Amino acid sequence: MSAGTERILAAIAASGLAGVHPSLPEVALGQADWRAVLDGVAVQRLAGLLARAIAGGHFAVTDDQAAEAARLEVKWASQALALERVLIGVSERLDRAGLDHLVLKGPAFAHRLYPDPNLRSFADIDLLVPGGSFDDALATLVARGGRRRYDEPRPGFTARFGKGASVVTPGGYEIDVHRSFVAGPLGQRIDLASLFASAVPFTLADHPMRQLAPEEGFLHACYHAMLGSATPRLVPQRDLAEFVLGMGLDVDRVLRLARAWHGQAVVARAVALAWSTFALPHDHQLAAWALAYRPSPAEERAMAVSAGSGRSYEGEAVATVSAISGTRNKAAYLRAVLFPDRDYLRRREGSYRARLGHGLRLARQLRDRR
Amino acid sequence: MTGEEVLGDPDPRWVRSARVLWRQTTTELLLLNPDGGADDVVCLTGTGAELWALLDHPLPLGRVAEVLSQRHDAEVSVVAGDVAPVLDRLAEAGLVIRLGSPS
Repeated sequence: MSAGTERILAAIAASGLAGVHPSLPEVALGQADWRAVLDGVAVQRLAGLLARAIAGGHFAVTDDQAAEAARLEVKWASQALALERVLIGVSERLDRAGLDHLVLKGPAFAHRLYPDPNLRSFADIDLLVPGGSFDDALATLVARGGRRRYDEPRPGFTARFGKGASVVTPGGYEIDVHRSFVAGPLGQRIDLASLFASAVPFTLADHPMRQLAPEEGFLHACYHAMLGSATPRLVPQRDLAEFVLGMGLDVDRVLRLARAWHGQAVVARAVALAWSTFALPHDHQLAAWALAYRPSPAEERAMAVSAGSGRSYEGEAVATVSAISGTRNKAAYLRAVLFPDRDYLRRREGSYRARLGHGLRLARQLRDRR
Repeated sequence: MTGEEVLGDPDPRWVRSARVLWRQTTTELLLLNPDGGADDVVCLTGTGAELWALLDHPLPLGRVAEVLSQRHDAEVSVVAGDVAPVLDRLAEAGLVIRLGSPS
């Protein structure tokens, strides 16, 4: 993707943010450039924002380009409705089974953060469930014809240590069931039980649901922006900008939670990134803190094993063991990653030899740390 | 059907179902009944979207027709004739609810 296309996509993602005046095309793009932008809009899930920028006269287009953008917007909006219908059905089933759950990201952010939910597209449903009922929640979804993706090395591993699993519904929609925000050491440090204690209600088409409290939701947006994909995506950055600029966050509480979760570096990097991407004003308290924050070496290591080019299975496992509390828990984690079930190995890696290689490297790293 | 719905009422009021999922795009209004059987999204444009906006609180057909006729400089009776079958179809799809007239 060219630098010019990237700049336009960032400007689309920033459009409509309070106090921001992104530089959008004042003359209709040529067909090749337009195609590149439209492809990027689909990948980055910016269809609603693009259509709104065009309708507001902020993005110059030809009639054909306007029609294409409108079709893309309708396609994503229709998908959002279909996913919200899936969410309502899933939430009702979990409620009937007495299984607590919170709605994360997509619909929760679309209806809470944005002036119009159509500005926040999404492609799946994300739920957070307590580790203690994680397997029951998965079983409830699978019992209705869902197909689980991502096996676990041993039964109960994800419920105890993992980030989560995905279930694909018979209709082809993906539901990500999370135990934590992220895998690895940073995911182990989050006080997951407190997320449910502080959760807040919302309604979706008259259906009562719950989502994270504003400060916890903002922290999740930061984790997702920095650790959710190898290259930070634009919509998570827009989410956290919406939180900071529009939600009236309790910044002291945000920073207290971030410190308790050992996640200050994640928050600082995420805020600094969004501020840079969208050229936001630096006078906000949180932005000033983020730009001045200097991560410790330990924080740098935790970030490196959790995202980016430095990420490795062995490095993440070693760092995760350090973050897990209690000798028995550490032992259970190591046993699962070093000696997984045969079925898991067969499906995931094909042979014991590959796993043996992982195991030897992990054992070497653990020895080197002593 | 809610307790307030009265099919035989001569002057029923119409209101959006609170259970409907919807999105207003820049060109269309999309509606989806979460309790419906099919995945079909209903699309409304132009006066259809205006009708949906009016039904955020209960209104009789006559009042809906009055408002739309003023906006579009059309005969009330003509507008009422156009709107009535749309309301019936939306009600069949579970997207709007027909309520009894106020007592």
